[in-house]
Amino acid sequence: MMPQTFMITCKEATLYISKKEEHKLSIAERVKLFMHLLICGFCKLFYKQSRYLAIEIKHLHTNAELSSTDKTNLEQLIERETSPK
Amino acid sequence: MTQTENTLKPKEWVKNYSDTLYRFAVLRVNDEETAKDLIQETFLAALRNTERFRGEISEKNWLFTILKNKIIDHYRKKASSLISEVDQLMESASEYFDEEDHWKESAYPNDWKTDYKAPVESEEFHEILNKCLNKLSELMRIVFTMKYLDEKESDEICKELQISSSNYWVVMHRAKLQLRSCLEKKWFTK
Repeated sequence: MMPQTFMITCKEATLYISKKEEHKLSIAERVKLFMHLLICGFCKLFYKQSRYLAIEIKHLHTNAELSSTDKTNLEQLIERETSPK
Repeated sequence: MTQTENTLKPKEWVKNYSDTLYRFAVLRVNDEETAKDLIQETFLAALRNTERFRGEISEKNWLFTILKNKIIDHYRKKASSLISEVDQLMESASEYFDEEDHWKESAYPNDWKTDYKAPVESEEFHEILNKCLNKLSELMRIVFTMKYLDEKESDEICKELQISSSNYWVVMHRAKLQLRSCLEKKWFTK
């Protein structure tokens, strides 16, 4: 039997995983997470998948464009602001 | 002298930078009108502070710096009005965990059967990812975007949003649970 103090729940483990990314776990917490991941396949998947998400997010992009009306409005705004008063 | 390279040419801003600035903003604020307002505010702030431009950085980078600050101001206002939702988040992770705080059967993570080290490049995947991000509560989306799109550390995010670190971790934890589950349903096990 593992001592009770080394056991963490899945809810805690999934939180620890985010903190681990930023090296914000104490040694005791790191040990607890390590032991939990040894026995919990679900949290292990969560761990892999959240790392994967972090990589994926960086590739996020959009092709959105301003309409020509929006651009004309911006140009007029700049024109007004730069013309001598 | 490099004077000619780094001078401001406001009459060319719209042509040269407006779409790039707009895309940057719209990815981060998830609302076209807000993004347009931010671009307008950026140009206005730039025009009113031209004397502060000393040419150490390019005109483009200077405009981006202003826009980034405008986005942070926008985030901070949102965060202060939304922070009360954190208490509820703390209480109810019951979609994912049972009374003993272990995974509910209905929420068991599935293996995505993908190479977890190689990102999916397809446009459709990014569309789904964007949709899932937009389903997060606004506070979750802001925190997640700052952390992973802008690659900031949690300490910096807490400072910029003026939230406590315990609130930050609650929001981040929930954002990941929800995003993971959404992507699994809409893409990986579809």
